[in-house]
Amino acid sequence: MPALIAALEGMLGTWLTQFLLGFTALAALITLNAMFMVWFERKVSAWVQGRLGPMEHGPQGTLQTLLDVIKLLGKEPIIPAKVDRTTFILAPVVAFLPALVLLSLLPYSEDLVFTNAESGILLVFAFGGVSLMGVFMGGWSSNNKYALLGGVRAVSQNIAYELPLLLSTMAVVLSAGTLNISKIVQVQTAGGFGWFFMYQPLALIIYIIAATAETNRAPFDIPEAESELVAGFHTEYPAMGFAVFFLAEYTYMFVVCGVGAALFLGGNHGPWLPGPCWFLIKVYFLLFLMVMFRWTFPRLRFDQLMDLAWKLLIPLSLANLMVTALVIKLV
Amino acid sequence: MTEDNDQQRREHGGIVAGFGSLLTGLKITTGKIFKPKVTLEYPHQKVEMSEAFRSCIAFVRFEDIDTHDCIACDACAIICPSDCITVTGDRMPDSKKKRADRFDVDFSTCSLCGLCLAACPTDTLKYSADFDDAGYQRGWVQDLLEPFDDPPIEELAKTLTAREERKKAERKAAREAAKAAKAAAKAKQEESGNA
Amino acid sequence: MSGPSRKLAAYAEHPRTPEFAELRFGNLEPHLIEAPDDGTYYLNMGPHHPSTHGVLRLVLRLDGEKVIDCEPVIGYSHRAHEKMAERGLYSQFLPNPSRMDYLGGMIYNVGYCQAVEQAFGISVPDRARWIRTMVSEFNRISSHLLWFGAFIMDLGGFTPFLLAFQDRENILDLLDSVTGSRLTYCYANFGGVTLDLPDDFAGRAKALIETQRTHFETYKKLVTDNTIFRSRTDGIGIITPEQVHSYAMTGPCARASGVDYDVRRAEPYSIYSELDFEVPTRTEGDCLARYLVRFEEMEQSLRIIEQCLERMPSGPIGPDRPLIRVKTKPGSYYFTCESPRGQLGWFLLADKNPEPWRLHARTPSFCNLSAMIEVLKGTMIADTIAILGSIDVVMPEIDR
Repeated sequence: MPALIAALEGMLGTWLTQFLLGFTALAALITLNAMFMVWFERKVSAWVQGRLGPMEHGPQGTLQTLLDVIKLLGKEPIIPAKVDRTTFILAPVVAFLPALVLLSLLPYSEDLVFTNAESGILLVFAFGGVSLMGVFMGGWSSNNKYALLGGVRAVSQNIAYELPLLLSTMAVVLSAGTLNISKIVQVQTAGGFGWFFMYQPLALIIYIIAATAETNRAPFDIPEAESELVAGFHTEYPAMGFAVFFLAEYTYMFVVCGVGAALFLGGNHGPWLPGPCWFLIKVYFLLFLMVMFRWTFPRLRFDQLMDLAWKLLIPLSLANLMVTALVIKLV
Repeated sequence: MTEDNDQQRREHGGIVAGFGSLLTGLKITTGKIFKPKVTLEYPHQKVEMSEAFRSCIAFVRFEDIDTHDCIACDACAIICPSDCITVTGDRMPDSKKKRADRFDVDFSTCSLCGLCLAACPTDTLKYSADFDDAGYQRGWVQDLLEPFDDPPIEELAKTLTAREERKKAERKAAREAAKAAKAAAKAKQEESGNA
Repeated sequence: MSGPSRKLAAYAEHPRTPEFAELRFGNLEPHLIEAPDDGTYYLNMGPHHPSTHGVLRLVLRLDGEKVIDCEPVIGYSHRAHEKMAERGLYSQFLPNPSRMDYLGGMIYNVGYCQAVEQAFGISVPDRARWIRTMVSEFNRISSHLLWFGAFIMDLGGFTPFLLAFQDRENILDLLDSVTGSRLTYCYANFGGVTLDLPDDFAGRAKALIETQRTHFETYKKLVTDNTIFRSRTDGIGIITPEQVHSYAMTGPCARASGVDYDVRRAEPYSIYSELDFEVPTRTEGDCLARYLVRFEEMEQSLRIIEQCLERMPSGPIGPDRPLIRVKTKPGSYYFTCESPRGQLGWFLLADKNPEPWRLHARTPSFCNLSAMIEVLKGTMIADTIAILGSIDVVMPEIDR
């Protein structure tokens, strides 16, 4: 393997080789994560409901998602007659592409960081906001009232929940004194300081709630509320368009949980196992929580969702931020 | 949102109680993960149907004549609300009795009401226990008499006549027994009355 | 060209039937095409929609997410059951009632038999009446359980749906061992029931009642106390007692609005006068009240079943040979019973022929749905789904 990399460097130069390697690794991570998460979600939902879930293909049905993807690839990509064609086709791409950037910002271990940006957290939220455009484009261009309602709901929901999400992370940023995600992790791992969830439990709770809402997961899945809007913004998307939206959703879940793990749970920090393993364990623990939310709670109504954000989460996270600032100033 | 609603909601409990109720829900669902599962992996494992289970109708194979006893009387075809039964049959040689040679049922329209069983004078119809039959088109007609391999008609007529005579004798015996029992009861009653 | 298609062509060419031409092009509501210019729009919800419970179609006029007006369109699963009754013997209609309301099939089946028996003076042995009551109550619980699951699913919670289905499955297994069917029963016949209880029935039923009670506790913790569920149902879709009366609403929906009317107690039929049970009522009239009333009803049904198991008399379960041709008596008859959704009435007009002259079923969902439309106005789309779910409509029962 090192010989191969050296040969590549000889041919393409260091920068291009690193880019290609990183790109390949991230693409593999996205696909594997989505495939695992779909299987995991189906399995967990089945177990919660006293069922077995997929069992046919592979042990415990592990190959089920692979076959689903093959099925989706083989389906005819129907584009309805009255849609805005360009926007309709672009929407899933716009929703999905920022995911690549976002994944490259996560600290998988101390050495394994694809992009070590100084303003890492801000970048995460900035690119996360771009994907929202994809959702809205999909909802608007479908020329379907359900899809439009879903798109509109998605925009107002994401704007509302971006604030508590940012404010809750800012409490951590203040405590750590840096926006760089890797450095925040280092602060936690440095001699006996401890992980941030011990100092910021309220911020963690707000972060998890806002992250669930930000990724449009139940009980905040009102943009695609199945029982109200059929399938919301992706009502008209068949085959791969639908699959790409799906891929984007699971990648964003991974990203928000990755940021959560890095900020609150000490990232790659942990005994015995190597760093990336601990990081993945923490991420999937948070993902498991999100899956459990979905299969436990009923959905909130649109105005209740807004009430929760504006009347409860934002004031709480602001108060939390102020208290944090005061404590840092005084201590 | 009116004020009344807010009032009702406040009565239920504040944010903390609400958050607690969510945690209770999570505890229940997480507990369910480790509970036994109810799924039966159907094509690999099969369900056992109850004795009463109603599936498409079938013919009873009577032990004494080793075949069905359909006399093509058409009672089932007439009572069937969905008109899904067609019976054809002829008289047997040297006999007034009819014998069915074809019993077509259109399972796609059968509603399993059981009126044919109720109407059958010889009780030769029953419910089968096959729950996984499927048809591939409308008008899914099956001849229920196909699996029955009747002996040559003369022989069959002989067995049937023998069976009928046996039954007649049985009925007679039963009648006589009933009469005797009645007489005995009467005698007993008189006796007790006398006493 | 022959038969119906010739008739259709004649209609289409006929100058006096412009409505038919509209029907052909599917423009049932011309206003759906021309959007109103006041910023509102029409949303066509159903007949194919995940939560319109079958084939109900709601034409909603929306302002943003707010429902301004609502027009239900019914009739998508009309199968002319009442006409079918006129076509055959009284007994030939036996498979139909349970197909009208596929969730309360047993109650419809038993109700039809009781209507005919009452009209023509057919006597029913005691044991058959007790068995009928017991299986009817089991059926009521299974119907309410399915409603419970579907209602939570309308609100976005998926797990209670499948948990409720597992409970329902246990009940169906039990009913299967008695009746031979799982959904559309044809168990009762005139003068009795078709099959006797199996030997192990009492033990299995008692075990089921026990587990069911513990499951109700779980549902209380998982759903009833859940704060999201509360906020979605509390104070939503309030139906006043006046509306209940003016729309002739019956069943749990009426009882949730404080109208204390249950046919089982108001006009006791079969053995209900001998049984000890309560009729739960609430006064709020909102979705939560309807939910709670149904839950209490399930518990009362369990009580009734326990009494039935205890006091089950022995004896015959019906006539030796099933009664296929009923001896009719000319006249008009009305029999009413309590289905899981409300008052089910059978109106029968008989002449001396062996077929009914007219048979009409007064089904509860139709009235309940009409009242719902009134309370929908001014709510949001999500509430529309919640209210629709809380009413518990079964579309084939409305369309028949």
